[in-house]
Amino acid sequence: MIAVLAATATTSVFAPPPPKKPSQGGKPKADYSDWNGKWFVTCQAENFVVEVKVSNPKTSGGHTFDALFLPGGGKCEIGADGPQFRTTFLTGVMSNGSVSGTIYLCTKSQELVDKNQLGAIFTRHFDASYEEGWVPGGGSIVNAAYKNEHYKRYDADTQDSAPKEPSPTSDAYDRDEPGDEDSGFEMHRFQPGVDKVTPDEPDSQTNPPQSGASKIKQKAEDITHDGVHEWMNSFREWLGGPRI
Amino acid sequence: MIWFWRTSVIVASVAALAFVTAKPVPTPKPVPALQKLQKAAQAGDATAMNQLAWRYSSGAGFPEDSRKAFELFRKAAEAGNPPAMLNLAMRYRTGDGVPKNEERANEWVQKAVTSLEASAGHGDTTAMFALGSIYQFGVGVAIDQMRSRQWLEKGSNAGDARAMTVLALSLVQSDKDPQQSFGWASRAANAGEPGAMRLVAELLAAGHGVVRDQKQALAWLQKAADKGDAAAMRLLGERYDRGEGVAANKAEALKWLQKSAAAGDAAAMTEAGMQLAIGIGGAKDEPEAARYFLGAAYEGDARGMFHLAVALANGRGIAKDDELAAIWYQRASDRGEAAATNNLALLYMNGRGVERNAAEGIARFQKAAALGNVEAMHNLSQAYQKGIGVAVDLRKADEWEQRARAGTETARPH
Repeated sequence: MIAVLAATATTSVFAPPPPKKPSQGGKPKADYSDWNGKWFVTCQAENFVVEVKVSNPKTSGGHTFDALFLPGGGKCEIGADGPQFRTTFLTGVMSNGSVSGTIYLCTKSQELVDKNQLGAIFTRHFDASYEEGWVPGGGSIVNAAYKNEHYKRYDADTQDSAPKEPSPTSDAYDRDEPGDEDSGFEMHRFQPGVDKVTPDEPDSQTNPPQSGASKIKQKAEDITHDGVHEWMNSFREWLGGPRI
Repeated sequence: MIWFWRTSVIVASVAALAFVTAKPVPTPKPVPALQKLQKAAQAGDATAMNQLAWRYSSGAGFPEDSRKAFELFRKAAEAGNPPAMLNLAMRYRTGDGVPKNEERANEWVQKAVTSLEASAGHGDTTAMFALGSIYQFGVGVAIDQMRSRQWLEKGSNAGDARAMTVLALSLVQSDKDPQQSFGWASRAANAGEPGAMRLVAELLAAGHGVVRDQKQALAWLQKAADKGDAAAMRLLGERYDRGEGVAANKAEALKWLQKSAAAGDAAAMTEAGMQLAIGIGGAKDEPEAARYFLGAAYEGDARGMFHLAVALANGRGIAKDDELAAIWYQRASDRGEAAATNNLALLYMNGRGVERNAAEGIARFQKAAALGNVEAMHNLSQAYQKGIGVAVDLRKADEWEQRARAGTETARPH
């Protein structure tokens, strides 16, 4: 049995191979059990961990796909009702190599909040595909697109980018999310010790959010670790030896 | 007390691994720079003798020869070179190239310390730095942080930026006086020490001994990078990647990582390779990614070794070669990369690149799982469920699956 699996296994000799995209002619994957678990996400310039749940993973056909934040994660700092914690990150359906549904995003522009009283959390339609990653843990979700609405600042002189509907609060600005590009999205199985979450985000249920003081202490330890390593190298150079 | 000879041990094990592949290992020949070193050593230059001894000790540029290394260290030490005195002492203590002799080791440590103290007494700040380091790391002597700090303070008060930097570091480490540590780091940074600029940036970012200020942190990193500091360039890349103190910009992140890699930073090579392998911040380029991984691996970066092994095992950007993949997984595993340990286990289970050995495979899965590798936990679960390499044990299979799902980072087999 092992020999049969050998040709495809990169990180799991026993697991079935990751699904191929329909364009590659691969058969749809029949067992998504190995998708259930923690995934590492880069979105809106933040790195965090979510818990992915795929319904009826051992059956063929479509599945519901939900990605939920870990307790204490998914904080949206700014917004008229902020800060708020998201519980859901993605909810949708996966089928034939694509995932579609709704993504929950944070408002990022304080200026727009001030002008338009935007809420801390907003949603967008989400489409993505997946492919075999070459980091451990199987497939990664790529080619995400979720900015199907994109408003710009209204220019009274040119009447450029006028909103389709009148803004309820102001006609000076409408929603825009500076720096929030679709291309900044990436999602793969979480690799403890390799993937680093943005400070303030929990990376595991076994690691509850740290207090401010312990975070600073942890950071100080990180500084010391790197610096001492460099110090040792500097001393090794004085000794005449190679750096390590 | 720690010793600094581990590199040679690693080099030796790497050489041994190379034989596993039955691929020829060429005998290194001296290149012109090394020939210059040889000439200087032959002319009686003690510093050159000491450096040449290290080369023979590690096999860097010459065939490894611990006896020749010892002789060169001895000559340089007898010529009054303090680093050589310490190196010689370590040889006597470890029995590397000479029979062990603790008494001789102590004698040479004492000679080195006495010589350095004399130089320090004449205002030699390098000697002060060396003494501070010797007591900090316990090189041939008992660790004595108080004494270490005294020498570093002397060096700092004499205006030596390197001493200021490590004094700041020592203070951060002890977590006693954050303001003072930031003060010394700032002084060194303002004196133009790139390592101190980086430290100031880290302290500002962490709010350690100073009000947290991400923008200032970024500015200091930029200054250090402008001075050619490779690590600062990498940290800048990471900040652009995460959007810390600056708007996130993946392309800018990749640019800085590549600059850092070009300046020789191994961790940056790995990170740049990972970005290119996936196509973040630039077009996907697997051959270029593999080149970065190769560079990082040869520079000793464990994550670089791991990613190089993955590329080799899958023929991604580099010719598929299971034997080499196994070697690089082994090296990464030896340096604590749990994912590499898991993947090496798979090669053992499948007989790819190594002789099939299920017991070895299971042992490595367990090692990786104990380090928190979720894939290894899954694999152990499957092994117990299907009786591959172990007797069927559904209870253990279930336990490992539960641990995998919980992503428990400190899981250990019952």
